[in-house]
Order: sequence, then structure tokens, then C-alpha cells
Amino acid sequence: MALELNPQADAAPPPARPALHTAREQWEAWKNVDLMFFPLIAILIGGAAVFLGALTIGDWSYWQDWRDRRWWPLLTPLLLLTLPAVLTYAFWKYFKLPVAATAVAVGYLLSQMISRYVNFHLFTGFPMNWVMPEVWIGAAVFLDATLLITRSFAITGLVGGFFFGLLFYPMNWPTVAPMHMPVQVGESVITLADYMGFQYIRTAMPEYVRIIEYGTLRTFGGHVAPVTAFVAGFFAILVYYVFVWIGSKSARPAFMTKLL
Amino acid sequence: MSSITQDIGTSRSRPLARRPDAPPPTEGPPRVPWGWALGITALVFAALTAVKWYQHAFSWSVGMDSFSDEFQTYWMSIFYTEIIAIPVLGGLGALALWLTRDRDIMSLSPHDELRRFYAMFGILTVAAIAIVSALGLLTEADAAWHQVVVRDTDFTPTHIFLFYLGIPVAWGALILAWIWVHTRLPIFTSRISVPFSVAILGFMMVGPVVAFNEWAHTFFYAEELFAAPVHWFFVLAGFFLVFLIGFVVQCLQRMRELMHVVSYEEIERLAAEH
Repeated sequence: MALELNPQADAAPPPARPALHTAREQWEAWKNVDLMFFPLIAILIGGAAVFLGALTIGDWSYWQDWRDRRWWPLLTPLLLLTLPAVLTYAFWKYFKLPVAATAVAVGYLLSQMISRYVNFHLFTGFPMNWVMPEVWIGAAVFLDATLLITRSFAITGLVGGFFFGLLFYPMNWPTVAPMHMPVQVGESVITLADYMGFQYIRTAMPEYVRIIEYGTLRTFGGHVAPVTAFVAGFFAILVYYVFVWIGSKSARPAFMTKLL
Repeated sequence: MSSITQDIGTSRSRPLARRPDAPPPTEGPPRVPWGWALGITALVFAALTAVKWYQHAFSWSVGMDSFSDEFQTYWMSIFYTEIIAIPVLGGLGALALWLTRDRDIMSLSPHDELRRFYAMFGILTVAAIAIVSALGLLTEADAAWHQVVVRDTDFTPTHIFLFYLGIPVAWGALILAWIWVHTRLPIFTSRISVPFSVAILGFMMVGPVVAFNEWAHTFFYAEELFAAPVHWFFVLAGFFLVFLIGFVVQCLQRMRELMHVVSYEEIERLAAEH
């Protein structure tokens, strides 16, 4: 089987006359393009991010008692960075728009808020503060701002990617901190997150299932979270580079003229 | 000035000059059919609302025991309807698109070609909100359901609306869109858009993944982890949607050709230089 990829092969001939006749019409046409394309791409990729997130980091995102200091702040930013990095390539390469990550983050958060309310609160009866999605718009703005200032994928990965991973945990601390408060239940002291977990029984509850930080003496130390945040930052640099490269491949306007 | 106009020039497209002897314009510029877009989206949202209402109303009352007669009546009847109606309607739609294709596509006027681009992307833009809402709401309804209910069948109330309604409808819409694009737009008539095709084929892989996923779940009835490795293949299928970016770039390159306007003064200057 021969597969021929040629961006210009058998191209439709250039139009013999223009579809538009004045500069004003052209300006309005490009304004229409702006109105159509950027929301379309941001919504579609934001929706794909929700799909991707649910199937890879969903449990950490859904339940407060999954939000530990070791796995949640590491896996979540790494997975959430993939699609913004892919989209960043096309938005910057073709349109010089450093807004891709922010657009995906906003679309993701809106979709998640609706889904958590409809599915987890109305449908299955969990309290909203128990299933609140994580926030990463700030990290996405930092990533985009780095690209805007440096105009370089390499430096954006190094600086923006690093801070994307690093900032995730501190940005979400306000929603997580109350869940770490100790409560006395009978003769035991447990976190509010675990207490709520016992009130809302789920199939992801058993300790042998939960992929979270093990309880050891270090549980009482405060070093795990910042160490994890730095590791997430360094790994995020690599993730950014790999997925920008994937973005460069997926945005290639290739045509196929012969299949067999 | 639009942001795109500044930089889409990196693409390899040919400029178009309006000839001084061209006839004066007789029609206004094409318009984006926002009314159609909003109407179609409203229909999709109405359907989604009906589906979610049904799911919330009958999942808990008659959707937890697949051996019951009520389950057969309220849920399996919907399942059988879906797996028959969606392929039939999709096939009829594909046939209609093919039979009504533009047989003289290369003589399509630039005005009409641009209008078709507007129609496609205007409707897609607004409908994307509904599509993403539907897939997101139906997907995470499944996640929430399996965390509180132990499954006794592969055809749960959430699966019946996600795997056998939402995803097949998305397949059908993408395939119909592919046929429309390759029979109505001159730049795609003699060649195939690779990124668009890859996006659709990748998303079609959800089918085998659903089969594999349900087979794997026959080993355990409690769906303990949503981030379980058996679910990761769904990610690959969804990730292929990023190839739609390449399709958008192809369309923009052609639209740039269609929308290029050169003043008479510039044409005269270029003529004088050469």
C-alpha cells in the first residue's frame, strides 16, 4: 500500500475571483473566523481534556480522600499539561496566540463544574465540597505568559512547564486544607476527608484500592508536599516538550492523494 | 485586524488578486448562519436534557437489577432501539449526502465556497458545546454510578446512554461531516484530509476499547478504580481528536485564499514594477 502525503498535491486551483470585495468585508470575515475557530478548538480540546482526565486521574479528582501529598500533586498536573501543550503549538505557530493552555483550563473547569454538580451531586448524592474539581487556571496562565514573554517553546517548557507542575499543589491548597483538619471519631483521630469518606461509601474506598500516600511516621512531617511539587515541576518540563512535539505533528495540514 | 490574518501567512497558499476587469460585486459577503447554529444546538441540548432526566428518574428505581422485568422494559428496550436506529439513520444520512453531492464542485463560486466554510464552522462551533457537554456528562455519570452501584450487567443505565447512544451518535456525526467535507468543498474533493481522517479513525477506536473494557470487567463486578489501566485505552481514542487542529489549519489556508482582497492601486503598482 502506498501512502502519499503531499500538502500541495492536486490542490484546488486558486479562485479566479475573490469571495470578498473590500477591505471592510475582509476584516469582518476574519472577525468571523476568530469567533468560530478559537471557541471551537478550545471547547473540543477542553472536552477531550475532561475525557482524558477522568480516565487517568479521575479518582484523585473526584474524591477529597484521594487527594494525598504524593500522587495527586504529581500525576494530576502531568496529565493536565498534555493537551494544553499540544494545542499551544498550533495556536502559537499559526496564530501567534499564547492562550491555548488558559483556554483549555477554563473549558475544563466549566465542564467539570457542570458534571460534578449534575452527576456527582444531583445523580449520586455526594456533597459538592467533596467532589469539587481541582483548579489549574493560574498555572495555565503562567505557562501562556511565559510563552508570550519569551516567544520560545524551549524556555517556556523549562520555566513555564516547571512552574505548571510546581504551582499545582499550592493553588489547590485552599480547597484541600480544610479536609486535612483532624476530627475525633470515637477513640480515633482521623482527617475530615477520611471521615467524610466513611460517610459516603464507594467502591474506590478500600485501603488496598486507594493509590495514595502510605501512612507512616512521615505522615506527620510537612516535607512530602513541597518535594512532590518540585518533582512534578521537573517532570512537567519533559511532558511539555514531548506534547508540543506531538502538537507539531497533529497540526500538520497533510493531504492523502493515493491510498492503494 | 484579526490575529489570524497576521500569521496564517506562514502557510503555503497562493495570493489572489482581484482583477481590475472583474465584474462588480452583485452579492454581499457571506454570513455565518448563527441562527441555524443556535437552533441545532438547542435541539441537541433538549435531547441531552431529556436523556439526563430519564437517567436520573429511572436509574435508581428500575435500573439496579438487570434480572428484573422492569429493567427489560425501561432500559433494554432503549438499548435495542439505539443499536438499530442509530446505524439505520446514519446510513440513510450518508446515502443522502452522497446522492446529493455537488457534481460540478470545481466550478463552485468563491462566494459559495466561503459560505460553506462559514456554515460548517458556525454550526460546529456552537454544536461543539453540546457535543462536549453530552460526552462529558454521560462519561462522568458512568464514573459516579459505578462508585455507588455494583454492576450485574454490562448494560447499565449509564452505559446504555454513553456507549450505545452518545458515542455512536458522535461517530455518526463525524462520519457524516467527513462525507460532507469531501463532497462539498473543492480543496477536499480530489484528495483526503489526513488529520481529519486520523481524528475520526482514532475516535472510532472507542468501539474496540468498549468491547475490551466490558470483557475485562467480566473479571470483577465492582468498578473500584476509574483510573484503572483497563480504561487507559479510551484515552488514546479521545486523544486523536487533537488531529482536528490540522484540519482546521487546512481550512484556514483555503479560506485565506478566498478572503484575500488586493486593492486596484496595489495591482497597478505590481503591474508597473513588472
